[in-house]
This record gives sequence, C-alpha cells and structure tokens, in this order.
Amino acid sequence: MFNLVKMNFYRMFHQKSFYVCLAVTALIGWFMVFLVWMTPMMEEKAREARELAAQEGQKSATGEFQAGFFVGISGGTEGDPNEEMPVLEEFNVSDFTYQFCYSGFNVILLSVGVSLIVNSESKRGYIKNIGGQIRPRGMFIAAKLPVILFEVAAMYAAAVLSLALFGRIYYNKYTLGDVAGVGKILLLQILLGVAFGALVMLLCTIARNAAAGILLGVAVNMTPILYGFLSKLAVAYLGAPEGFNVSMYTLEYYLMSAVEVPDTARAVTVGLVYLLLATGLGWFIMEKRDIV
Amino acid sequence: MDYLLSTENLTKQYKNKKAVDSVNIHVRQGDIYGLIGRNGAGKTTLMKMISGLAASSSGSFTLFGEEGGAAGRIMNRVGTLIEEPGIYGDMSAYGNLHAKCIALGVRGRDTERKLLEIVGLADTGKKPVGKFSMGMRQRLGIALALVGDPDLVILDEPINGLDPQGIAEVRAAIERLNKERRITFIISSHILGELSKFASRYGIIHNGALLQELSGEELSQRCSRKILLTTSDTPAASTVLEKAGIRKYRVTGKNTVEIYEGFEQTAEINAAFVAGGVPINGIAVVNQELEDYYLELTGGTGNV
Repeated sequence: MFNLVKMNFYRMFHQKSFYVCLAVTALIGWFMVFLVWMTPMMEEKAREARELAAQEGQKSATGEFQAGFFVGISGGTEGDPNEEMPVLEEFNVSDFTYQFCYSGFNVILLSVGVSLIVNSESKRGYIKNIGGQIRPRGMFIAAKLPVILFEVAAMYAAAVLSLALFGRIYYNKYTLGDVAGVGKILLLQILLGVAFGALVMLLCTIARNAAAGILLGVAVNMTPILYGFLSKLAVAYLGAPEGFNVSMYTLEYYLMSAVEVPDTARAVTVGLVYLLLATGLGWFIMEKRDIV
Repeated sequence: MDYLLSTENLTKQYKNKKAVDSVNIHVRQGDIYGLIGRNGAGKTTLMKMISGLAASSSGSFTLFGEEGGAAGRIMNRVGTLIEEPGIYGDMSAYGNLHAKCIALGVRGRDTERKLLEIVGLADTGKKPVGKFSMGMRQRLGIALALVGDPDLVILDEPINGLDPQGIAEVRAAIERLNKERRITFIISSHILGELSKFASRYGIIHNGALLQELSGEELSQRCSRKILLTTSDTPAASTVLEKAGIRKYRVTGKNTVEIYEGFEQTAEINAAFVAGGVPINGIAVVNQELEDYYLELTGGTGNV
C-alpha cells in the first residue's frame, strides 16, 4: 500500500497536468484580483460613455460594460446605472479566499485536476503492468487518496498564494484579514475537496474515463436549480418539513458555500460519509472488475 | 509431473460467447511456451486470466503449486506485457521502470538501468516515451514485465511492430533470460515463424479452445522438413533405416514412414530400400511451415 502511494506521488510529480492545473488555479487567482481592481476603471469608462451618449442624444450602452466584471467583492450590478461603484480601498486576502471558495472555480479545478491524475493509470494502460501483481486490487483506489489530498491542498495553496501575491501587486493597502477564520474554512474545504476527489475517482473508475469526473465538476455548478426543485417536490408531496433543503445533504453545497455553513460538524460529517462511500464503492468495483 | 502453471478447464464467458473455453495448458519450469492463435482466438483473455488481470468464469489454475486465492497472492512472481505496453508518454523509459519498481518495492541499485540494457534501451536517456517508436515501446513493455525478477513472464505479442533487428534482439534477450535466470516465458504471437525459433513448447488455441499442446520437438517433427516414404512394408523399411544408421524417423501410418534426417542422402536411402527388398511406392522430401501446420489444424486460411 505504502509503495503504491509512493508510486502515485512519483507519477504525479512527473505528470504535466498536475503543474498545469496548479498554474491555471494561480491564473484564476490573478484573474479574480485583476477583475476587481479593474472594475472601478471600467465603471468610470462606462460613466463617461453614458455622459457622452446623453450629450449626443444617443441611447446608453451601460449593460455592455457592466456584464461579467463582478466577482462579488465590489457588490451587485443591479440598480441605478448612474450609481458609483464602491472602490475597493484595501485588499483583504481572506475575503478573496472566501470568494474563491464561493466561485465554483474550485469545484471545476478539482474535478479536472483529480480526474487527470487518478485516471492516467487506466488511460495509459499502465495498470496492466502492475494490476495482476498488486493484491488486493482495491488498494489502487485507497492509495490514491493521499495524492488527492496533496493535490487539493496544493490547489488551494496555489489559489491563496496567487491572490495574496497579486493583491500585493495591484493594491497599495493590503491586509491578510481573518487568518484563523480563513484557515479553518480552508481545512474544511480541503476535507470536502478530498471527498469530492474520491467521488470523481469513483466516476472515473466506473466509466474508465476522465471525462466522467470532469463532467461532474461542471454538473455540480448547476445542481442548485435541481436541488431547489427537488426540495419543493419533497415538501409538497413527501411531507418534508417546510424549509427542507436537499442541498444540506450534498457534498457540493458545503464545498461551494463552506464560508456560510452554520453547522461545521454537519459539513464534516457529509464530507466523511461521501469520502468513505466513494472509496468503498471504488474499492469494491476495482476488486470485482477485470482490468482492460 | 509438476508444472509451474497448469490450467484446468479455464473458461471465460462474456454473455453468450465463450472467449476461452475449458482450456488446459501445462507449462513447465524453464519453458518458453508459445501460444499460437488467430486474432480473437482467446490468447489475450487466457493470458489475462493467468496473470490475474481478469477473473475466470469457471475452471481454475495452479501457479507455482498454489491454487485459487493462494495463487493470486503470489502473482508478484509473474511479470506481464498484455496487448500494447502501458506507459506514461511524458516520462522517460527510466521513469516508467522506476514507477513500477516503487510500486513493487524493488530496491536494487541500478535495476532500471540493467533492465534497459537487457532490452537495448540504455541510451534513451531522458527522452519521453511518447516519442519512442513502436518497437522501442514494445521493448520497454518487456522491460516493465521483467521488473521484480519474476519467475514467470507472460508476453502478449511482444514482437509486434518490431523491425527484423528488433525481433532478433528481443528473441536473444528472451533466450538469454530463459537460460541464465531460468525465467519461464509464455509468449503469444501470430508471427509463427519467429515463435518457432525459440519456443520450446506450444499451445494452439482456436475459437477459445485449445486444439493441441505439443513440445518443440513434436512440432518440428510435424512441421519441419521430412522425407515422406510410402511403402506396403513399414517393418522392413524400419529395419533398413536402422541398418543405415538413421534414427530420427517415425512410422506415422500403415503405409507411411516419416524420416527427419539424411535429406541429402535420399538416393542412397532409396538404394538401401531396393537392396533390402522393401517395396517403395513413393519417396519425397516434404517441407511444411508452422503456419501451414496451424492452418491445416484449424482448417482455415484466415489471419493467423
């Protein structure tokens, strides 16, 4: 088992996709900082355009400038188009880290990164070289968990470091913020990330394909609509109590809104349950199925 | 007799189709066992089962004297190359071997370098395996199968895609490993001419069933060059052959004798028969390649 874990680490450190995923994570960190930093300038340009248009008696082009440039730090985009956007005076690393956890990028990055790492053995056929010699074969699944843990931690580290670095570059005023609070959230995020990684690994194992895991990452960003609908159905037809929310029992809810989770214990429990179930099922499938 | 590997009615069934049907093969320590069959005959499935990559639907096999679950636990003594070699394209040949060494806990110094030397890839350095030719990949696959000093190595089409020199190198490496380290090989190939150069025992598989299992000697007797004698008095013919000092012959039918030596002396042999009063109806030198024998046995002319 320990040898397999070592092999997985050796392989991951020699795999380009690992570094590419970290680089993309860092790039997203930069992008988030850059957008917030640029928003007031864009708003200024939009205001000038509106004024010019008003002077020339033309229609305003407000919407075109506002679309897609808000990551949440600067506030909403609705309301009076002539209202001044609040300018971020001080860069707070903790606030931006929370935003990264909210953004949904984390889930997509996790699904892509983990899928590429855990599936490469099957995709390249390398598993045929060792699949017969390693018993029990389910160890192939369990031995990937430490690698997933490392990758999840590395991706969050890359995001936080990138946010901190580019915040330092773009802003004069700079603070780390609530380090203890964000540290606790990050630990929870890492646990949930590993559980999500185990789920991705399970899908990749079942489908023998990395695409299944990546698809999961994209799909979970759309689940709130589905869960809202299911919750309403449960209340209306199954006698669930008013305010029942299916999301409270799903992994991605906590993964994408860990900042607001009132009950950390429940989040940890959900994470552990998903982790154990996905690993156990993956182990079982690996044991029972032929290696192709 | 004790076999290193023997299967008993080993079967693999996919829905309604039996890919391997009640196969019984017997491999002795030190054999180079050639598994012959067309594409889709069941060679790969059989190899997967005995290398622990696939479960059998029924039947069993004994490996190193152990059966069932116990055999599964000593699979670390079996090296495999099944179908195409499974390799990481962005890693070097050394890296690919090192990864397997780590997984199996092989800690010998220079193990990877020695294996690369055996398969003739020692000078590939840090070149990514993705840029290797088909033949080089195949040789790396063989090196991967040799990690951990296995006692039994299962190679599925190991000379696929190799040029003549590559084939000769791989053949030499297999023969050397077989002689020096007493490694037993099970090798499948559809290049029967090549296989016949170094295999010591053969299993012929067709439509999932084992048609015949025979030693290299038996196969060469059936396939190779021979003098086919047709006579109505085979005992008298045998006596004449003994007197002439010819020992490699076999009475194969009521009226036929096959002689496996003295191909340059057919005139003298014929004269000896005449002098001995043996009635000769026909005498001819016959050549049969392994491919011909295989096709004759399987009753087809398709892709071997």
